[in-house]
Parts: sequence; C-alpha cells; structure tokens
Amino acid sequence: MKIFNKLNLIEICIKLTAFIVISALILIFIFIAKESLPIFTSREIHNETNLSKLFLPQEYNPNKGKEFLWQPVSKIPKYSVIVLLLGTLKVTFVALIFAVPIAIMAAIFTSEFSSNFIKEFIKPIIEILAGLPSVVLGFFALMILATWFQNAFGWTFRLNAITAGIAIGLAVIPIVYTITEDALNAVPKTYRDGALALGANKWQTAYRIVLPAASPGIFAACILGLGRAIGETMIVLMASGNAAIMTLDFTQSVRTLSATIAAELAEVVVGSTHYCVLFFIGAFLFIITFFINLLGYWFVNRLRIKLEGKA
Amino acid sequence: MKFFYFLTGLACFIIVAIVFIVVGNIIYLGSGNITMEFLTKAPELGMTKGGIFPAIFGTVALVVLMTIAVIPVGVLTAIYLNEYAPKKSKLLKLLRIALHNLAGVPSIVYGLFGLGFFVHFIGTGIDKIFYGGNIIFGQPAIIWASLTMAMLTLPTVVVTTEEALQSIPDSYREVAYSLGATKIQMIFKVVIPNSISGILTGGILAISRGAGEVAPIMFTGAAYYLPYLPTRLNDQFMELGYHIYVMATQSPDVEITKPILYSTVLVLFVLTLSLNFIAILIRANMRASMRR
Amino acid sequence: MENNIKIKVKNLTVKYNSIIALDNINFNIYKNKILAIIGPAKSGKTTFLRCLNLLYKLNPEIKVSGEILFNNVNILSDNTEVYEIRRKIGMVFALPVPLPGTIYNNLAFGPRLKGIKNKKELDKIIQQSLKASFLWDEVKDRLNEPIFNLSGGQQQRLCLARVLVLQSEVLLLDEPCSGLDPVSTAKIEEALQELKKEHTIILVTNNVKQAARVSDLSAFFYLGKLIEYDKTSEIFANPKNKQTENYIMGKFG
Repeated sequence: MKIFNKLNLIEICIKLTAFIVISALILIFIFIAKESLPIFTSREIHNETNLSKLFLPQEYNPNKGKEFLWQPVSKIPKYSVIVLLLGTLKVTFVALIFAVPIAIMAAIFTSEFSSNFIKEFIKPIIEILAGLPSVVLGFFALMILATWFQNAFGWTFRLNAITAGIAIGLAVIPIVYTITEDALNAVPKTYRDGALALGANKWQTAYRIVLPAASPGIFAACILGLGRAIGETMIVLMASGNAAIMTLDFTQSVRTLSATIAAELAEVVVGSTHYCVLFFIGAFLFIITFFINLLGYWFVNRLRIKLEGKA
Repeated sequence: MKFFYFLTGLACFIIVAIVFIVVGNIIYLGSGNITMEFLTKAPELGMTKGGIFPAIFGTVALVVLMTIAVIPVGVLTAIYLNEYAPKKSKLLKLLRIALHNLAGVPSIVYGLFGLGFFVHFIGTGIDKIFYGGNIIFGQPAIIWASLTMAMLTLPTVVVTTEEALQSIPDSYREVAYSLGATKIQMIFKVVIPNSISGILTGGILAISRGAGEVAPIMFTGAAYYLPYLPTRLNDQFMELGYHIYVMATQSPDVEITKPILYSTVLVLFVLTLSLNFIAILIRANMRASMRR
Repeated sequence: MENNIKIKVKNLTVKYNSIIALDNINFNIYKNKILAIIGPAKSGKTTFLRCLNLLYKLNPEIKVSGEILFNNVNILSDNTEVYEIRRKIGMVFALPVPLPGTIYNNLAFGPRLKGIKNKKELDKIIQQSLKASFLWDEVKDRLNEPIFNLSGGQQQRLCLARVLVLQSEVLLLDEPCSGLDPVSTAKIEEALQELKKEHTIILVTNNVKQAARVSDLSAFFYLGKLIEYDKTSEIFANPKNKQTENYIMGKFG
C-alpha cells in the first residue's frame, strides 16, 4: 500500500500543477479585464469616460469641433483610444512594409536558390537577429538609426513612426523569415522535381509551384509578424517620440497602445479612471494579439493539411 | 530568372548587412569601456562613473528566481498534457491552442498583470494578513518581477517541453511498461532522460528571454539606482535592460553617460547571445545523436 | 494434464469502439511448451498477447471481459498487481526497441525498476540472460557500448535477453523475426527451444513455416475467433477446419 500512496502523490502533484498553471494563464485575461470593468460599471468613472468616449471623436473645444485626443493628464482628461490605435497602426505598417518583403524574399533565396553553404551561414545570422532583446533594438534606433535618418532625410523629428517602424521591422524579420522558410521546406521535394523535370527553371518552379503550395504558411508568417509588431513595447518607447498626435504624417512622433501603458502606468493612481483605461488598453491588446496569433496558427495548420492531406 | 535570383539574393544580403551593422555598432561603441572594474563595481556620481555590477547582479538574481519558478512548473504541466491528459479531448485541444497563443501576447500586458495582480492584489493581501497593513510586499519587489517573468516564459517552456515529449515514440513507453514499469517510472526513467535536450532548449530560451525583456519588470520591481543589492525577496533591483532604457531616455547628461550606456548594451548583448548560443549547441547535439 | 496448465483463458472478449477484436476465446496454455498463434492480419493475435500482459490497459477505449487465470489467479480482475504480472509475463515486440543507452543499461533497466541495485547480482543475471538468448559471446566485451552499434538481429536477441533478465515465467513474442535475416531468425528459434525448458512460450507469427518448425501447439485465429487449437503436428497434417486448411496452404492471408 505504501507504494500506491507514493505513486498517487506524485501523480496528484503533476495534475495539480497543470491545473494551477492553466488556470493562471486564463487568469491573466480575466484579471486585466476585471480591472478595466469600472469603465462600464462605476458611475463616477463612467462620467469621465465610457466606450463611446474611448472610441468616438469628442467635442472638447466648441471651436474645433469633434476630435480624437489622448490627454489623460489635463484638467479635462481626454481618453481617445483611436489616437493610440492610429499610432500603433502607423508603426506596424512601416515595420511590415519594410520587413515582410525582405524576409520572404530572403527565405525564398535560401530555400530555393542558394547552396547549402549559404543556408548554414544565414541561419545563425537570423538567430542572432532574433536574439537581440527589444531594448537593444530600441537603443539602436534611438541612438544610431534616428541620427542617420535625420541626416539623410532632414526630418524635424528624429524620433517618429518611421524610425520606430524600421526598428520593429528588424524584430519582425526573423519571425517572418523562419516561418516562411519552414513553409517552403514543408513543400515536398517531389513538387519541385516534377516541375524541373518538365523543363522549368528554379524561379519558375518557385513562383508557380512552391510559393502557391506554401502560401498558407507564408500568410501565417505575415500574420504572426503582424502580431509581434502590434505588441512591441520597448522599441516604441525609446524610438517613437511618444507624442499622441492624430496625423497621417509618418515623420511625426507617435504614441502606440503598448507604449502608452508602459509610459503612464508608473504614475497612475490605483483604481482611477486613468488606471482603468490603461487596463482596458491592455485587455484590448491582449485580445487583438491573441486572435491574430490564433489566425496565424490556423493558417499554419491549413498548410499542413494541404500538403499532407490530413483530415 | 536571373533577375529574381539577384533580387532575392539581395534581400538576403541586406539582412546580413543589417545584422553586421547593428552588432558591429554595439561592439564598436561598447567595447571601449569594458574593464574588470566596469563589471564589478557599482555606479558612482549619478551614473557618470563606475560600473554596472548591481545591474548584472540584479539580472542574474531575477533570472535565477524566474527559472526556479518556471522550469519545474512548466515541465510538470507539459508532462501532464502529454502523458496524462486524454488524447481526444476537445478541451485539451483548446487549451493547447490557448497556450500557444499566450506566447504571442505582448510583454507589456504581462507587466500590467504583474503590477495589478502580484503587486497590488497578492502583495497587499500578504501585507494585510501578515504585516498588519505595513507595506512590505505590496510594492515593486524582485519576487513579483520574477513571477511576472515566469508567467511570460511559462507558455514557451510548456510548448517546447511538450514537443520534446511528443517526439519520444510510443514504442519506448510500451517497452518500459512491458518490463514492469509504473507510469511514473516510465516518465522519469525513459521519457524524460530521452527528451532532456528538447527540455533544456526550451528552458534556455526562456532564460534568454528573461534576461532581455524589460516591459514586464518596469513596474514590478526594477529600479534605476539603488544603493544596495537585492538580498531579500521584497527588495527592488537594478537590471541591465531596464538600466539601458532609463539611461537612454532619461539621463540628464547624455554625453557623459553615453560610454556607460554603450557598454551596458554590449554586456546585455553578450549575455543573451551566449544563452542563445548554448541553446543552439544543445539543439545541434540533439540532432546529431538523432541521426543514428 | 490439468496441473500442466499455465494459463487458462475463459470467455475472453475484447471490444474496441464498436469492433469486436476477440470473440469469446476459450483455451488452455500449457507449461513449458511453445504455443504458436497463427492467422492472417487483424485476427486479434496481437490483441490477445496484449491481454495476457495487461498492456491493453494503456488504451482506455478497449473493453475486456472474461477471465485469464495465470497460476490459477484471474489477472483481469481489478486487484491485480499489474506491474508484477508484466514482469512475470514478459513481451518481445516485432521491431526491436532498444532504449537509448548502453547494452548493459538496457538489460539492467527491468531489474533496476524493481529495486535491484547490487552490481554483482545484476552482472550475474545479465550474463545468464545473454547466454540464454545466444548473444553472450558476441557482446560480452562490449557491454558498455551504445546499443545502436548492434545489428538488427542482435538487437532483437537483446530485447529477448532484456525480458529474460526479469526471470519471467511466460514469454510472449509478437512476430519477433519479422524484420530479421534467416541467420538471426535461426538463432532466435534455437534460443526458444532451449528456453522452453524453463519458460512457457507464446509466439505470434505470420510465418506459417516458422510455426511448423518451432512450436509444440498451434492456435489458429481468424477475425477474432479461435478457429482451431491442437498439437502442431496434428494441425499441419490434418487440419479439422476448412479455414485452417486454407490458411495453412496459403490460399489466403
């Protein structure tokens, strides 16, 4: 009987641990959402801000008409999430425009054209890039990139959407590259052999056969890169200028959703409207990135099904 | 076709060039200041002189605490998911998906959770129950920062460990059973020893992330200048990444602190690079032994 | 012959989802004899073996009813010490499954699970088992080498030795020679002839000729039912059932 007790104890430990872990991870979202709940439930907070105030343009100054403003620390606090969302989108846009074509083309090169030697050389390079902490990339953008760009293009603000966007792009490149390369590698050799045997050259094979076959995976790579870009915090904090301005000019400073939380959480009073709004933004980010990743993995699965014919 | 060959090759070249430029700058700018003194002394004169030892110490302490929290818990959870949970369960499929996606949630969200849950909720709770309302744990502390980091890296550890366990063929398990092994013996004497490389890889990647991420610790325990080293669980701590962030964005005299900033970046870079390199070595070793 | 019965199978029925894998099997397995179980694929032969060493329990969807009396105790009851039974009724699988590690560690794995740590004792039983599976001469100087250095035939004999180290009373072999060359096959068959003096052996085989060479008794399974069971010499000379005859003659399977 002694043996049975010992066995069961270990097994109970294992099951208990798993249960706690899984609950804890679910807890994250619930807790964050809970802290933002007063926006909907508390009368006094509701006066300062509510769902419509967060998302729709408000009229603060009768002369200026309706506008989107994020100024939580002012006599009349203004909480338009749209300003921050625009900031996030601008920065993400730059990052993806920069990173996605380069990463995908590089992956095509290493997977379809290059020799093994080059492949083995590129892999560690990508791993080094992937291993750079975002604070280091932010540092690079702030200290070095911003100065280059300003010298080259003569912008008024050295810290703006483009500087931050390019730096985020550096973080996105390894993700898109790796997943694209996996997708291309997953295409069976027989597909390529068949095309080559019919007289196609390497590019035609890649373009007409391999790329279409791997397309769900490539799409997934872009989506996962998008998820990373949206959530990036440190780079933006250091290199974007942190000004919540509503403009389509990319050479102006921006403020993103994630950076806002990081920048403002330190001075906020627990339980205040500002506090709740920051948690609201956190929940918002959580949901967006969670579903973007979900979409990405769904496409990876589709790729697997397509190439392996699994049910 | 030559055109596309050239174009895609150019893309590759650009990436390589970028990496060389970034890494080159880091090394070039930072190496001037790296002396034994720099690494072992504390900062002086408002960060304008001295070393960054406390930041190195704090980073190591953070990572050690995080690892103690995350590795056993993550591995046990993966064991449960792969060896005990019913295979066809829809619930389990959902859980796995949730776990995979939690790895992609921004680190600032974990920081938010860490502040709201660990510091304010658990921390003040502990204060109320054990310390009669005094603020002992209800404030940023290294214990909360480590736990927040642990939550951040937990999904990664669980997913990589689970993959490592899955790669062990069922025939090994059957053989173990047929020789009279109990389930626990089978897991700990056959499955784990044979998947240890995969488990270690996941662990080291988690550690590397723990050393490099800043957002989760900004509000849960990291501080810019402390006259002491963290020796108790409720102490705050200095940390390399956080130090870089504050020095780069809020330093009153940028020119003087620049050398220290550059060197700190180099130290952090070398640290994370070494950890990733170790993980790569383990993975390569694993592949070599699989090729039999 | 009653006290020569090692295992008595009573009304054994195995259901898997809605498929009946074994349908009301009844027969006796005798001590110190080699029983060959023959039949085409999907006849329930492997399922039957996995009932004997309780390996079916790994699959929660499998439902088993009936009794299997081993040394007069029903091992299908809930009170059974599953791990003890698996040591007493050992199994060799179709493909050799070497556990990564040295030859010595593979062989010591079973006894170590039981708690036997004394090196002298381990050395002794390992040597005995290797001799009994006709592998001792080939590996006696290589015990600390990785098991992957051995050939397929050697690995399979090692799997046999691994079971023998447990000093099992019954040996279950599931198509043990299916991937092996004739020389290795012959060595294993030779080993079995020696081993039956101390053990009871049940051999599932797809190779009818092997059954004829090696076994004392044969049982013909077809689609989950036990069609015919008799001395090997009888079954092959005078099969009483038409299906048995057709299978033995190679007309199907």
